[in-house]
Amino acid sequence: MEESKSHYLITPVKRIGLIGCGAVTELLHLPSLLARKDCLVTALVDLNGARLEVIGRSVPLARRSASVSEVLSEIDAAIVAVPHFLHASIAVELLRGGKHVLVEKPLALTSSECDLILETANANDGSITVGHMRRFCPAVAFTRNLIRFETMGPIHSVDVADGVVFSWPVESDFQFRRDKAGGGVLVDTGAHTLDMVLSWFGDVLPVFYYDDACGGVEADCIMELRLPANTPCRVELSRTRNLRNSAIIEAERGQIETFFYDNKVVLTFSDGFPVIPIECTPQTSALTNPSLWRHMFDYQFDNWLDSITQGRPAVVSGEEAAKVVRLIEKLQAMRKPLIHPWESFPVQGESS
Amino acid sequence: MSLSNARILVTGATGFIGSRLVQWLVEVEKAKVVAFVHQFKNASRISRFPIEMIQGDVTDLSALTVAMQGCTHVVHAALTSSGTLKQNRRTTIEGARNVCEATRRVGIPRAIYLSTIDVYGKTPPGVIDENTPCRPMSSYGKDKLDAEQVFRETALNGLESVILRLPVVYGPWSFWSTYPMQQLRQGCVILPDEGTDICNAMYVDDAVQCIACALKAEINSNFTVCLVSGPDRITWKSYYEEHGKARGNKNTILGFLPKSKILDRYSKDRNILRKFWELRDEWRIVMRLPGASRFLNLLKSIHRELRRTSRDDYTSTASPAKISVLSLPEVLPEPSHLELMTSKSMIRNNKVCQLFGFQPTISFAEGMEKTRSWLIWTGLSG
Repeated sequence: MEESKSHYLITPVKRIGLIGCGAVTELLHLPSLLARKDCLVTALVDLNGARLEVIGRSVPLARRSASVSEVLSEIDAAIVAVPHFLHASIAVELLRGGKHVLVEKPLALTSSECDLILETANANDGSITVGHMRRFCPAVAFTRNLIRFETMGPIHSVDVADGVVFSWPVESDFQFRRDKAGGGVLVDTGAHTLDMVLSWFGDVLPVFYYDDACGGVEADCIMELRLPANTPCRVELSRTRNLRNSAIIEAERGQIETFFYDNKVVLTFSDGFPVIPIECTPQTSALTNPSLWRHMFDYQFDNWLDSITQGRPAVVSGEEAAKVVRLIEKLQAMRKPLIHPWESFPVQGESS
Repeated sequence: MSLSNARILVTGATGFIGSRLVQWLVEVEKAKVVAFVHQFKNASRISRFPIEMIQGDVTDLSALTVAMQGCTHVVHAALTSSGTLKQNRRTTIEGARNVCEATRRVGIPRAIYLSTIDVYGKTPPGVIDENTPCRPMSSYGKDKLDAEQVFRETALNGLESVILRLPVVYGPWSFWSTYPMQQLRQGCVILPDEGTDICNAMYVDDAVQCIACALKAEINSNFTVCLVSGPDRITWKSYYEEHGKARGNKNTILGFLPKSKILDRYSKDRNILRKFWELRDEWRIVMRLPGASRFLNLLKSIHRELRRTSRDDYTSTASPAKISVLSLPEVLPEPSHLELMTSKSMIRNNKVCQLFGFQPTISFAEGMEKTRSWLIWTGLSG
């Protein structure tokens, strides 16, 4: 393995393969990679020829293919941005080929798939990291340190509301199919939210989970988790509503409110000290300005490519990403229906 | 007739009525639903149900024909209002034509088309029914009437077409519930006359129940037009007041102006816009000068002030002193809604009740209670 790692030390420019040419590749991965000097996109893989054509216009020299195996010799590392149910098989194939792999979240659909990916990564030369890019949001990283150093004292409760009306320009319906996505908002937005909570607090225990799926995938869900020291943590996720989009952390000396889309942290002190709003750089909202997303992806690639070059783990390890999948599985196993008062239908002939 | 063995294609399935219809067909009728989806990104609400989703545009005949394979019924609920008038008309007319043609090709016996009471335009006071002449005034009403005509022509070739002319349909996700809330947040909502004109409103669940009845009913005619409405007679004043209750302890302030004065306001606004447009080259130069944006803000505040001083010509649910203290801007109805909001016509439901056995079951009070709980949940009540 050492020989293999040294190979990368003397190869400054990494050859990257983009596996999956959907919206995230077009709008976020590719622009960020094209601006870098330490990598080259050398291969594009997608079953959809039209999407290969669209993405291929920006990287005309990249090899285009419908199969991962055909491009293995052309790449050192790969970004896997395909429907969730394909994550495991593609990541394993790449890892067996000795490639470094960044898989979009979630790492896989099930914990057994995660185990297979991690075992394959350990047994081969490649490495695995996962696109939990919210970790690279400066406000989220700053909050992690506030919690770690108990700046506001012991924590009493946490309340996270994370939701925007879904408007991601998806190229297929996989996000809305349980067989392909593994779930709805819990797996999609929730993977980021739960990873953020896990990275802040360590292991958590699920207490209850309600969602509004009626044979399809959930668009809204509510859950409660137990953090270490039995601290309650409520999480609400939505694809149909614009929620508060912040985490409110109540602590002994006051409150931390982290706005993860606005890259801002507000500290409120219980002793009457003036409120401190901390606007992290870049001072922008990811909901109105794509530049914050771009920054987070740039940081993510900095970290990933550095970790490959230096042979050390990336910020988001495969093991940590697997914890998110395990937590999602536990939540889904305890699912109860979320029923709204306006949802039940009247019966014909019954007067109201 | 049961729909449990039916396979129903719904166009516009991600829309407000379409998505609730999908839920009804799946949960109540136990039908198989094929949702014809313009953009998957809008599919969050219907993806909660076990349905098949097919992406396509109603202006694409081949996509529609493919989607309809194996279907037994079609509900055409797709519309667009986001494009130019020409684009919207194209989607409405061409969409109707394609739905009819695809239905013919696949051999589906019945299609339901969701039309609107806007096809009537200015209606005489009193009761209106399916025999009332249609004189649409809005482009939306004109397009819908022309689309109805497409279904009428296709009916001659054997397709059973049912046209449902829907009134103001309110409830969760409805424009007619989110828009009043948005207006109430903006300031003093101006209603024509005393707000006592008739609001022909219907809760969304009654609308989808009516569509389901139309799908199931035995019909002897190839072309049926039905006018639909809710069970209660309500006014626009009560419509806004009931929505305003979702705002909790925040005041709902309504102002009342004669229709003629609202039309004056529109023409004043149009004149201002026209003046700005005529001076566009000068403005480009002015905006390059230092302090130009502050000057523009000053002009805006003068315009607001003029709007405020014109308040003394209307009556309001709040005292003039209160409005002055709150410094509320006046919020006029959309010009395209003015005819609807000054209607003195009441819809007669008789035909739809007799033909389809449909009876609206949700009173305005009950519908608004559900709507308010939804508004609060979505955070749109504030």
